[in-house]
Amino acid sequence: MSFDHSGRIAFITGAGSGIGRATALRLASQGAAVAVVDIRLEAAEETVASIADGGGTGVAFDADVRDRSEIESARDGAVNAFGLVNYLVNNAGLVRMSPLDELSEDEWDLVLDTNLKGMYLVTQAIAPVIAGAGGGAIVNLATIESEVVVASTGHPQVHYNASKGGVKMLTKALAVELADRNIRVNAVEPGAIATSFIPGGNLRSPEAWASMKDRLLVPRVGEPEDVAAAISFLLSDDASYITGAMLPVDGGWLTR
Amino acid sequence: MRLENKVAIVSGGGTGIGAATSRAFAREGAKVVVTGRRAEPLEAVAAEIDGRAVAGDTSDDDHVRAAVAAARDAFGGLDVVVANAGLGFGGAAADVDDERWQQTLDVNLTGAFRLARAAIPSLVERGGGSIVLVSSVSALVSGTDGAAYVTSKAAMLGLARSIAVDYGPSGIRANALCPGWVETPMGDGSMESLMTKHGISLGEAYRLVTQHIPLRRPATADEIAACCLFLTSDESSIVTGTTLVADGGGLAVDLTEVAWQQERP
Repeated sequence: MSFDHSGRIAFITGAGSGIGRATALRLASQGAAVAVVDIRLEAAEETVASIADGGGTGVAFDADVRDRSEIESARDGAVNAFGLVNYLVNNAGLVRMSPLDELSEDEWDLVLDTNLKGMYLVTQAIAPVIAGAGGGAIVNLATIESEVVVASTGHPQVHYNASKGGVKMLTKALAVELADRNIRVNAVEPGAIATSFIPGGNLRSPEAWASMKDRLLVPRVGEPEDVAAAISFLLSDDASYITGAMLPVDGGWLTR
Repeated sequence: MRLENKVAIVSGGGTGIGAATSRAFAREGAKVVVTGRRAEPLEAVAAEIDGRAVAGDTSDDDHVRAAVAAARDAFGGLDVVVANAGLGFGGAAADVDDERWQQTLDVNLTGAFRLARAAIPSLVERGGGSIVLVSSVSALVSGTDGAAYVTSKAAMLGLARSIAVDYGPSGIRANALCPGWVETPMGDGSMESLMTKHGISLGEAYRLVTQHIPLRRPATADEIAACCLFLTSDESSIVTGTTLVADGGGLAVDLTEVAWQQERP
């Protein structure tokens, strides 16, 4: 038996694809009911359909994490559907690549508002609900790029690095502040994970693997399910003494 | 079950984190060889979980080889190693004598190294496995009067990374686990000076040292065992070379040592 999330309610942003979707499916398969939130309603609905196929429970909501009123609508919808929330997974995020000289203010704002401000807005909306349920746990999506600049890709992304570096300290500060409300806050730091997160990137291609295989300490590219498993652990009672921690899920990328 | 058909060695398995980890592993389907200095608690744990007890000094190469041989003979191989045996003496750098320095490094660091060294060929034979080195938050921030302990625990992080790098291609994952205060016989021992200084009970001492930690309590041994379980199960199958901190948020704030500076609780 893996982690048992029976009776728990999870609120997951960016759950229409990639790591968010895999996390929604995993938590649902482990007994949780999931509020599946995505900026694209049809993507959220697809995840909910997959949850239902597996015999689980999910409800789809569309919300842009940059928009307080949309988040509050999704929160109210989740509370109406399930009565409470125990877990929050702050997964919604995006990456854009532009060298500094060409980086527009609009693109900076898009990345920072989605990846960092969005976490603040969603957490501000959901944490009181979790506290009202007696406590719970939050997992934020950081990245190995919260720790290092992966310059080998040749993709300049100061705004992405800045946003994800911010996620690291946001996580620790929230852990300290929310502990007295019995809410643990941690972050996972995925490395190379085969999702459609990087526009135009395909980490399952032989070329991508050739470029990474000497970098990684495990014999395969990461899958969204690998990150979902780590998130499930951090949310579970098995991690009841872990808060304010960063957990790399990176095949050893940060090790050498 | 998360460790079905797996065989594990847990050093320092007679009490505290090691005993809790051995029980958790057995509950999840693993066959467990428990090692430690004193035979009596080891045998009690082994009997309880249908495991094997191998008594000896973890820094003794013959002992760790005997433990690996026991895993192979009794259970047919080895998949998981938790190097948990440890001890601690007080003392700032200028006050630590050679004997205490050496004993601390021998048990905490060299013991973990020798156990890993003895185990790695058996893990490679199985196509891989998982090694957890139980370090401490002392590896990342220094407590007071613990020069040898702090040094030994910090060095364990390097050992975990080095094993991860060299044996990743053989399918072995290696991670360090850094607990904060844990209610164990060893933790109880650390509370003694505070209990004497302030005339307080054991429970009050634990409360005092954790009062500024976000979760405001020490860990139970079971909570740390659950972290060992995650790091050795397939649920962490691409987690390697890392340091998992399980400290109730202590490292996220900068106040964990306040208790020693205070005149009274």
